[in-house]
Amino acid sequence: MCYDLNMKETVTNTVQKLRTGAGATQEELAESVDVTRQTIIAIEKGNYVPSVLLALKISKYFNRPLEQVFNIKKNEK
Amino acid sequence: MKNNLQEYVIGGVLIILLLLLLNPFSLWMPDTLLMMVVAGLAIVFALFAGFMWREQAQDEREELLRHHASRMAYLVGAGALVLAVIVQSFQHDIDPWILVALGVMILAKVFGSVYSKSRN
Repeated sequence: MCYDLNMKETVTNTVQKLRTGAGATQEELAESVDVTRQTIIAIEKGNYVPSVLLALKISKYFNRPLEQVFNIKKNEK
Repeated sequence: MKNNLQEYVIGGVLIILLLLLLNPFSLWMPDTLLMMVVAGLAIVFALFAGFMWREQAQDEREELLRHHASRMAYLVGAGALVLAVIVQSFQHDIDPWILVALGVMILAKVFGSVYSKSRN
């Protein structure tokens, strides 16, 4: 597999879309996955990449496969 | 939030005590007053250290932010000591305690890295 040094990878997510679709608040989601509301805000804005454990907890909360909630996006540098 | 406020207040008291120890306006004529402030410094620093030790992040993101803050604090502290060594070397009068403090900080970092790598 070739690694392109000009590509920067980021993690995108659909947490906000899924949360609003489920009618849940940030506080409710935060409490369910045992983090602070600020962490949920940071994840939804794309400012924080959760650990595998947290990502799995969030996916389980929405009852979706991990790949439907989090995705890798390649950006050119 | 309450713990943070306590930490900030204690940190502020520590800074004031350190500034007083610089002996502004030749305050330290009576030795007993100086000794009292030094004792106060030791006690307040012990409280400060206790708060830092008991700090617990609420989640993984807070832990990461605390880690970054710790690294920054360490580098600023070590940088200040290096600056002190440079300034004093121009005066041809380096305080050995500054060198000791810098050496202890560097050794602590090295041993900390070795210990954490050995655990993984």
